[in-house]
Amino acid sequence: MAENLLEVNNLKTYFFTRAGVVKAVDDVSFSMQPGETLGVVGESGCGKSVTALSVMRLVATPPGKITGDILFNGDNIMDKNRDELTELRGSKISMIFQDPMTSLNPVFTIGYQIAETVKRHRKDLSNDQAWKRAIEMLDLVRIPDAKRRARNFPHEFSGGMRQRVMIAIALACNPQLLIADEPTTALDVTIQAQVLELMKGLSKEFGTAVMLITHDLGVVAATCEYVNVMYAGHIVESAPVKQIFETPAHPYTVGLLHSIPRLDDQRGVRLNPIAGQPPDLLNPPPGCPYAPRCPKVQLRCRQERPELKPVGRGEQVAACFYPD
Amino acid sequence: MTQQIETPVATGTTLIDVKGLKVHFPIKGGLLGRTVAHVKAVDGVDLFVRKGETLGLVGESGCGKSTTGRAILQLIKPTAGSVKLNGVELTTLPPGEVRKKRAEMQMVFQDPYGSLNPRFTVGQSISEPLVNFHKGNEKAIRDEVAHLLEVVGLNPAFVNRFAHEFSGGQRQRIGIARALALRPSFIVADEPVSALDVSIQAQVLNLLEDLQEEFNLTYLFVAHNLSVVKHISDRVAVMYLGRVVELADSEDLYELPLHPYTQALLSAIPVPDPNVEARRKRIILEGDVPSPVNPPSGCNFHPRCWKAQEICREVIPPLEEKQSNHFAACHFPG
Repeated sequence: MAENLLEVNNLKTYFFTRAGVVKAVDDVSFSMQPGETLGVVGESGCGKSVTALSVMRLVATPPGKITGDILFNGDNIMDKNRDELTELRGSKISMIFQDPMTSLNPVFTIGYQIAETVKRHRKDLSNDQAWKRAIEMLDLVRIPDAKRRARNFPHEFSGGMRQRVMIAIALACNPQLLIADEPTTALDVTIQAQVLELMKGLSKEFGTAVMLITHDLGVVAATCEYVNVMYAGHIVESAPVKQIFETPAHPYTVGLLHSIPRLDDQRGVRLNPIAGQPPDLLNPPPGCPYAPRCPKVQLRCRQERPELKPVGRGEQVAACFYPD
Repeated sequence: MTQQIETPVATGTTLIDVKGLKVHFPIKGGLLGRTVAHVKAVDGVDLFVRKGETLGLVGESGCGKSTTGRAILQLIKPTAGSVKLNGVELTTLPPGEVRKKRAEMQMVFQDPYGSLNPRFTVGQSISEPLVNFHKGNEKAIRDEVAHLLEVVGLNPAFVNRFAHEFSGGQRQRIGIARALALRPSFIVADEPVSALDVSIQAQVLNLLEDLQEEFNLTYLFVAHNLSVVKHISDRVAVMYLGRVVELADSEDLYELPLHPYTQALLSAIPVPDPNVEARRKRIILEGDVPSPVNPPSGCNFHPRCWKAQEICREVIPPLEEKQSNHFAACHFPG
């Protein structure tokens, strides 16, 4: 196997709040190969975004506290100081956020904001060259009339175009890893299709690995090779995308797949929702976090927390005592 | 010359009949605050809802689907057109009469956080419509609220709690209980599950289906998520830029969409199945939805349509029955 691009070992991100300790990410380990597309799925509050922010070391500390190892190309990101982190962010690892309206600075032109990123990491380039690169990137993300549009401000772009500008900024320095946190959630489906298509094409072209965080299983099926399913701060299942959908092992994954209406469903099929609510992370249940909602729960599940273990189908692992 | 949809012959089966509905919002500008232009949010919508069915209304943001829902309930005054509830024209009714009609038509809102008064207990929120319409004495109303809570799957003991003590899914149940309080026959549900997580979304969808059966409800289900709409609807109307472009039985619409916009919309939705995804051909639309202030001439989809001809730029295609019970507004359907 090729060397891991990213290796996360025993990552714990806790937030110390007045109400108590919130274990947003609790002992998460996973790895990514160069050029791979990894989907991270789960419902709100499951820790998928905090995992991504932790990898970038973008969690405010305090109140947050990150422990564990995050190896990027073999280097531990946890050991890096502020300057080294700034060097890394935007050049080797970059990130796209959900809301393209707030991630762009409203008082600078689009071209300036792309060129700024380029210049920050490529000191050898002149202003002119950085500006040229900005236009090149806008062309690449298929903004029509890029030369003129580079002089426009963010408010002159639509939501989908702003997200494409974000992609242009993120890819301007040819990063090895792109973290996309719900990049299409704020967009309409036809625009989502445009943006996903673009991300897929560009990551293939440049060999960029993509960590795609989403709650939409359809998006995962359409774009990812590998999937981590998260629940209440833990990875509960991890497998190649086909296995997640064909032979899900963890009851939570099964429940999730049964509770979404599908476009190709027959009429009159009743949804099979997961009972109850996700747990309060201030006060998680002992044992398996999914136990209170799990249809297959046994006494053991309420006492012990299951570790991720192979379920006998190649690379597929699940954190469950009684996997399917 | 716009050909309007023929209401089914047995008018007794039609609960809501909308013809030529328009809602234009003025844009004020200049020194004198004069109206300089109009946002044509809804620009000639024809549709009808049969008794006991669920009509899904889908489209992308800004296509006018929510405004249509609100204009049908007279929460927004329509600029033009007619809305009939059980044969009674609502647009010309005096405000007092419209208020009386509200007992028959209710709404469930998208944002369960924003649509409940934070200073009201759940009991107060649900009983408010009952009190307003003088439905019995204090004791009767209290019993009714407890009953309604039970009906939507909440513990009647929660009656004195406040909205913030509930999760999103539970709050949406409270909103549904309030909408049900007056035993309406027609409910407009505006994106009722889009703020919820998938596992909770399924619970609320099932609840809506159960209630429809129990209370003989007719729904107008407004949403942007086509998978959800297909799941819950008998028929689906697709809107684009203020007009209905296609209206058909949900099976027909999804299997054989006639309007190019519907085709593109359906193909853009990812299906949670990697095998299906690997085989699918996607129609990627160019560009964005034009501004409703200054919509394109003729068929307003023509700038993004791959089939557009000269006639599409000039003539607005009427919503016509192209196949039995399958309406589309396109010069070159199929």
